[in-house]
Amino acid sequence: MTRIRIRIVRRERTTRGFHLLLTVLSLIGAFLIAGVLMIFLGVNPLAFYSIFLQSSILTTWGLQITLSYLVPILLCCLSAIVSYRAALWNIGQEGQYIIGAMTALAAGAFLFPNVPPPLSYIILVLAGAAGGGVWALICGLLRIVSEINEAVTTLLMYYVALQLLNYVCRVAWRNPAFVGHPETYSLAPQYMLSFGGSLAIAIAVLVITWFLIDRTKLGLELDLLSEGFRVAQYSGVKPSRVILWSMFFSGALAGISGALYLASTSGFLQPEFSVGYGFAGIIAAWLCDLKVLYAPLASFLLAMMYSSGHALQACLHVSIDIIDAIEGLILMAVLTVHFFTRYKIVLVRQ
Amino acid sequence: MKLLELRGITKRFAHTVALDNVDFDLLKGEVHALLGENGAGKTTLVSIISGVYQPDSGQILLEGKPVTLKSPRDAYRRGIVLVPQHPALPESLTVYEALALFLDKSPSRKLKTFIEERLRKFGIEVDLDKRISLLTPYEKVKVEIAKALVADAKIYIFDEATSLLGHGDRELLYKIIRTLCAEGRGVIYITHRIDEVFNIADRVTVLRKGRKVLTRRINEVTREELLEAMFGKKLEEYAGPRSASTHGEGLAVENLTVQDDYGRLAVRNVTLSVKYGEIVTILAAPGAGHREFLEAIVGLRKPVSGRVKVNGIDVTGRDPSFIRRMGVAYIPDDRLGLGVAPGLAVKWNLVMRDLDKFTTKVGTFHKFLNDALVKVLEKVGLAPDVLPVPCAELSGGQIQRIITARELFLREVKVIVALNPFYGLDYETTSLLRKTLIDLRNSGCAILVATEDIEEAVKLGDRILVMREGKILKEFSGSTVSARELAKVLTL
Repeated sequence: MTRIRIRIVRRERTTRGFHLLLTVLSLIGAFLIAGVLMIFLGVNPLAFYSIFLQSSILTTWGLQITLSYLVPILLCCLSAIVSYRAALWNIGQEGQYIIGAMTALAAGAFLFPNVPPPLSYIILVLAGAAGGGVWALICGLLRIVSEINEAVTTLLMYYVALQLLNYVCRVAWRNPAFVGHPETYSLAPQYMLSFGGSLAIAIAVLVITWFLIDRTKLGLELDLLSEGFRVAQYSGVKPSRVILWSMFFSGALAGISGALYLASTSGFLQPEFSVGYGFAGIIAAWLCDLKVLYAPLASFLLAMMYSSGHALQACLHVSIDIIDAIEGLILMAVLTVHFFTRYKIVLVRQ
Repeated sequence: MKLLELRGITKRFAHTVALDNVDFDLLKGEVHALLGENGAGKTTLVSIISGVYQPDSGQILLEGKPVTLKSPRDAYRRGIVLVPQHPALPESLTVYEALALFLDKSPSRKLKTFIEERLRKFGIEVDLDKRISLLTPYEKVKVEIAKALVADAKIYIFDEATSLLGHGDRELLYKIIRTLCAEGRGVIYITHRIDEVFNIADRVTVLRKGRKVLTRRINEVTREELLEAMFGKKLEEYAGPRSASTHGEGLAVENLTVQDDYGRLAVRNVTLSVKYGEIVTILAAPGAGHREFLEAIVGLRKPVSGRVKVNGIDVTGRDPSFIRRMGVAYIPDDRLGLGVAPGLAVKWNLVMRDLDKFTTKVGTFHKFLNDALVKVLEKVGLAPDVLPVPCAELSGGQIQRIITARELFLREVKVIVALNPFYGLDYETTSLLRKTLIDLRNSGCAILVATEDIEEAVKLGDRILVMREGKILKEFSGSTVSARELAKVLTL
């Protein structure tokens, strides 16, 4: 008697084209499932797709909003890439994003409020980078000194950052002019950026990151560290130095993300400043397979989700939380791609 | 009565046959020694008996009944216990908790009394309430043995147990084994030392290249016969005349003492020197300390005391990249774990040890990079199209060629250190590598090779040192020694 069994077998080698095709198919799958979800919510899936596209790319207004979300998500995505390439699991981009915005505000509202424009933007970026970088660096130090896993510390440090944000909004930097809702003092006007300006800075940061990671030995050092301490040591890489450097770099990128978002939106902080761009960036990083040059594409898709949220809520009367569900589906799609690039399912006759 | 019987066991890994139609049995109350060179198949056979691997074909019978051993836990439930070569214990528990966990029982006063009585009977002294992370390496070994003793198993397997304990506790181990046998249990004792076989075993089985060569009662076999069975034709190897003309001291090691990963002294006060233009081979059995010795020389391990000098310059305790820049090449035997970064392309694996040479001050890679890499690949007989391929996708032979190319040809080297460089290689790669090393010796390099293979030691060494328990036991001249002499010293 022959029985047919399903077995999971390791794949030999996959081409880049196969990987791309698989990614696209999985994403289509994720959106099909989202459509089914809509049916359960009593919404016509076609209406959902149409509003999703209109509110994110098909209208000028929508596209502008998407691009404004692209900047923070892209930078958090780069932040994730820099640490994951070294097999360091920084998942606290959201916290570093908050701290980056806070240090940028400290510089632009209190420390150097009278600096003229080109210099003010440099201060803005550097302050954000320093804040986010140091926030992540603390976790890198803990990893080296007492071997505490950075995935735990970076996540917990997010909650510390969140409380700090609450503290500055409600107590330390609270602007008494706003009655009712707790908000901080604003950045000095010459620190404020247009969407185009923040996009330009983000692209510059992307190019610098790409150069460092893909064209210099710093990137190779990250890769070697991800292959294990012993190989790294054997090839002359000092693991602790690379851990500190990559955690700082990673945190700095998330910090810049917070600084730019602050300067290109309201200019002041409020307790609702943290909306999850850091976590979206992590998903984008896996979606682009940790490749810097594909990061904009993956981040753009996540930004589309964010920009369509309000339109979906307004037009279809679904909760805005639906975008969290779709984000989850995209993550599932990423995992599917990872599985199928490594394994295949075969039927075996026994 | 047969406690255990294996019939026609065959086990393949990828392209190699680890065990080929092997029969083995164990009687009640006997010690059956398993003897063989490194790579003969001892560990694979024991892994099958203890449920780690399943055989591709063949049958396992426990007390006459055919069984399938699905996992180590399954084997344990059926009364088979392995005392592993290296302790693997839950560090955060106390000794007593670890033993209870292993027995799958809740801690109770009754259990503790039972454990205490059992350990007292065997003369094992360990503090049951001490946390395992606080134990010394030797105490951890005792806990591994204690685990086996409280388990009330039918079959005990000791894997190279004396290399664990060192000289002092050897008698204690022999006493434990005799007590176990007196209780009607069976013991499988793995070793590569003939002396031990005569000391403790009732019967002996010799494996060579995955095949069973002989099984005899210990009083019906001679030392010579066992040597013959272990090494076969290799014993006929004689070294030819050597044409080494040496000058100056390339590598000098003075009174070097090194610890292993478990904190035990692996190398004790070793002194040796390698001159330019000669190959010195260290012949050693696995775990003799040669690995730690070489790693301390190339900077992968910090020595406890002693000095290492390269070309007269003290490099003791410096990091691997500093020693590399002094012109030292290291060919490790853990190819995938240390020799290459498996996930990275061949290109990056070639440049990773000489980043200072291939990058500018800014850190960008030089333009001439690819041309240089293609040239060295040619020297080891590889085509340039492997450059973008991740090392994990290459064969063992190809990976060893990549390591060879990187270590020997991408920088001018004066001193070459290699650990088991031929282990598991195909014939072609072996001869290419051997020829490369001899050519470099002739052009004036100082070469130190540690190997676990007698044949390679004889074929390669201008001088041959035998290492055991972290010490140099004896030195031979490469032009006059015979493999038989070496085999005798190695299996003492």
